[in-house]
Amino acid sequence: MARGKLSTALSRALWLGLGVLGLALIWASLVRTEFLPQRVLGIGPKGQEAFVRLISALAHPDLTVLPEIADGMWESIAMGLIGTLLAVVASLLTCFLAARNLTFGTPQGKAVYLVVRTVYNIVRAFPPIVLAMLFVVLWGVGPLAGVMALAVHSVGMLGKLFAEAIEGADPGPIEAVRSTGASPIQVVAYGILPQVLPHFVAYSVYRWDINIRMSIVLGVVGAGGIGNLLQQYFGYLKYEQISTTFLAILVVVTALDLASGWIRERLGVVSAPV
Amino acid sequence: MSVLKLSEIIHTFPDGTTALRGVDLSVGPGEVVAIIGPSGAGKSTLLRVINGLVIPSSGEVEVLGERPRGERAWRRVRRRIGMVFQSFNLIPHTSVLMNVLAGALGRIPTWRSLIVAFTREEREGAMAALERVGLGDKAHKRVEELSGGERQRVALARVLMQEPEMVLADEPVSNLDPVIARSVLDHLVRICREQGITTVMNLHAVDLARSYAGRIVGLRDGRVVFEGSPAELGQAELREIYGESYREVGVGQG
Repeated sequence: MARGKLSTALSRALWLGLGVLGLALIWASLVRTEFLPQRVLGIGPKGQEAFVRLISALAHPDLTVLPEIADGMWESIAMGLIGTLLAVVASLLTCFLAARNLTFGTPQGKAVYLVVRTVYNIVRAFPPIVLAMLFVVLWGVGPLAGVMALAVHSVGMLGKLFAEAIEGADPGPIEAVRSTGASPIQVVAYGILPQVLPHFVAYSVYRWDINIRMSIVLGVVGAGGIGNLLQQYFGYLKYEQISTTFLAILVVVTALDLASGWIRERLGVVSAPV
Repeated sequence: MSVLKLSEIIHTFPDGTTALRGVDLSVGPGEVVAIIGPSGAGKSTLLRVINGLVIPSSGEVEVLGERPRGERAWRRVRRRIGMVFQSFNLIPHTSVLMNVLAGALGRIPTWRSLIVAFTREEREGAMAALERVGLGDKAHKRVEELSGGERQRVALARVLMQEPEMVLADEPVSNLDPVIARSVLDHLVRICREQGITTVMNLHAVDLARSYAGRIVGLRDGRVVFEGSPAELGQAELREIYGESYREVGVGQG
């Protein structure tokens, strides 16, 4: 009984300490991010004026720059497409080596699994915008740097999702194909691929959707796409043109959302993990 | 003469559970053997030892005149042994015909199967196999559209496509209702007897074992505790296999 009481008191103190620590972390973060009443409510007259001009410009966007914006938008969509395609191919070629149920038979297989999974984790850890900055150094300013950034980051994401789909495959059909005397490659092609293909397609479509959104941002670091234009317009405070860009982004992102949702629903994979 | 000879098979899984504790079994050509026993007796493991899906910790496997060593040798033997499963194990999202064609994978070059280039003879063979199990009209349906009994008959057609010398059936009808179960076993045993295919099947229902098998093997705790004809399988023997309480629980089943 005494021990029980002691441990209850101990765990209560522990929880109290954790609570205090949590509150302290939140407070320190509010201060660090300047989320303080005097800052949040203290918007200066210059800021107010600029914001009002920006908002009112939304009512009369400058449509003469529409061709320019359409071209930037097309560049973003193309970047998203090529970046995703490269990632899909690379993931398809490697995901089988990153699935436990296919590699854990031998020590060498385990080693390959660990290497591929580690590579996925490393490339996934860098957000595309960070990779884009790196690749602008390599390939110069322009969409190619953006494409490579999206591709590299997406391999980390898609490779992991593909591998997990393989690990989630029903072992029954795999065993059945094996029992016909099929070779390991035939087992993958006939026992596993039919099971995972709908997932692969759904994840890829979802990734393309995300990559187009990301490509909108990449222009800010010089990696091509509509973000480039947006940055230029902001540089010269061209409110009516900024407004046109905002509206264009809204339209494209909404259309994408609907399209990718529709495709995923038709594939029977409604919720896709990010 | 025997087409299957297991000697002193012992198998312990990596997690430490011992499924088989010294099994000897010999099956002659064309025999239809049923293995019965309580869940966890090692029936499924024993069946997989026969076609090398499980390599036993120790013991000798001689099957179809071979003593395979290594995966490549086992693959050549597996080609000659068909297998049906409790949960059918069909390939999802594909057609019935494609599932049957998969039975030929063992004798088709990998490159040709990768581009799904089956020959005219192979496609006709698959259709003929479907006809034999009474599913000729379902060839182009997706497996998801079929009932349980139909799915198991597709699995049977896949085995026929394989042109096997031996068939292993792991609880082939325990997911089916009693009437459908009998019709599936009718198909399986009739075909195997007609073609002289040696058959080893795990069955959980004693009455099915009695009516379809020529010989019954009782497994308990990884050991053979009974071996004989259906006529020799009496209450005493069943208690030996299933435990002392068999009579009470067994009335409905047996």
